[in-house]
Amino acid sequence: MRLQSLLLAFILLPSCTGDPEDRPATWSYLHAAVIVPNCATSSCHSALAETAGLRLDDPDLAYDQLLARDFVVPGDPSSTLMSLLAGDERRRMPPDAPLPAADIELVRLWIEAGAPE
Amino acid sequence: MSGRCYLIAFVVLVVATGRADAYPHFQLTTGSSQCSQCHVGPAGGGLLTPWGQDEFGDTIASGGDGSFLHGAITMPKWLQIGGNIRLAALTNDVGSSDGAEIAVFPMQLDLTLRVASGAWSVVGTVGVRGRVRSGAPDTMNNPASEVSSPSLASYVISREHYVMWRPEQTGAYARAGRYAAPYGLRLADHTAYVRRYLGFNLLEETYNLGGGWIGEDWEVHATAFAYDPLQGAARKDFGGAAMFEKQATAKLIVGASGRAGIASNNTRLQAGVHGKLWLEDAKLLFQTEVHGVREMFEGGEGNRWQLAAYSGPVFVPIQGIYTGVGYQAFAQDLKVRSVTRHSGDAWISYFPRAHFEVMLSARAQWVGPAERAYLGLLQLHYAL
Repeated sequence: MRLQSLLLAFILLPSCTGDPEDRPATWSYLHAAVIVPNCATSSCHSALAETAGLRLDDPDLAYDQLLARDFVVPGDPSSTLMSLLAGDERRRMPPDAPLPAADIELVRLWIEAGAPE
Repeated sequence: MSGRCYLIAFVVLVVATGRADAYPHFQLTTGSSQCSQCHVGPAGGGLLTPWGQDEFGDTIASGGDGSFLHGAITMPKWLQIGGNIRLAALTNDVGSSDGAEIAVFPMQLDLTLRVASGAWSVVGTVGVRGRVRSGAPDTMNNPASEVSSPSLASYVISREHYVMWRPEQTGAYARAGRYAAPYGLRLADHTAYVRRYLGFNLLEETYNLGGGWIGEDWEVHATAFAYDPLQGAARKDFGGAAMFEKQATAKLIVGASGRAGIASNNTRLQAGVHGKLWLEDAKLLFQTEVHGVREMFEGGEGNRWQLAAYSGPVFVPIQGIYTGVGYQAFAQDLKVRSVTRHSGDAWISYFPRAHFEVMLSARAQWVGPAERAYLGLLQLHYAL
């Protein structure tokens, strides 16, 4: 019985449906939870590869570059970063698999809020 | 450079330079019960032992001589040379408005050297990281910004370089240097969720001080690690990892792994189990692994539980051919269903002769409720 309960819990856990917007739309969270595992991989926007001249592995450097090169315009949800993530009229990022729509929405909320560091 | 070229370049970068691993489905299906029987590394991967070279021709491929240069040269016992060359072609569709792309590219070029004296050995691998660094500096948004290109030196990589003390095939060993800490099934595919999202992605081998014990039917490995600051680790963490594996019966292997990593703005604690079951009559090997992760962020906001899983059978219809399907899942936040990824994989490998492999694979990914991605990949592989 105990084993069955554990198995049931294991199956149901991934089906929990918390509100994606409950997650913090902060740069600190976005960088660690979304950017690093999906964008800062060794052959992409890492210190080694710096693909497209963009380093996203370091939170401070990444923030500075995204703003300095206008990938993110604070307060503007039509920033270039959004069209890159959506693949609209541009090559889609990340190139191997898109971000979940809820993560893209979290990025949009952060930009709309003025892209606070 | 056109946007189309950029996309191809990025795609290639993501899949380029696979690691010089063996394939974990050789364990049991070839009659070998431990990875270290065929590999110099105590937990598998990389250079082959003389036994492993013989197995290449005798049980894996449809014949041939698996030794260095097909036996044309006999190397002295203290020196060993190996390597891998992979060429690949792919088609990839991630839902871009300009559709799927096609690319042909060099995937891997690695040379490995091992020098041994008694119980001591030094192993080093030098390679070229995928040809495509042509994600050239992009200043289209703000041409006034200063952007530099990566140096030529950044193309030269070394996945592994370590010193090892290992007096016997079984028993205690210790090693120090850069290598992948033993963990889980150790799939060769670095894009597998159980590797990519658990700290074992491409070029994420850490600097380690590790050791373990190889028993007759069990093995244990422990590793203290620090990220490599030079070769592009996404996660910059320090910590420890451990893995235990036991051959429960002649056809069943079970194992457990754990890893703790502390980075500047988050801490990850993860643990999981893995197993393999070989049904010899049916020529089917079932492989599975499941890992749970607790990730805690600076300030405590957004802390999450994650789940990463891989499972699938491998079929060996005749000697020289391996084919399989797999299911993968990665729940990046168990409270939020809409960010969970699922993947269905299918692949076939053909080893016409020792050293040679042709592999065809396909993957369909479901990313949350709305996003999809499809990949087809052909690899031509020569193992030195």
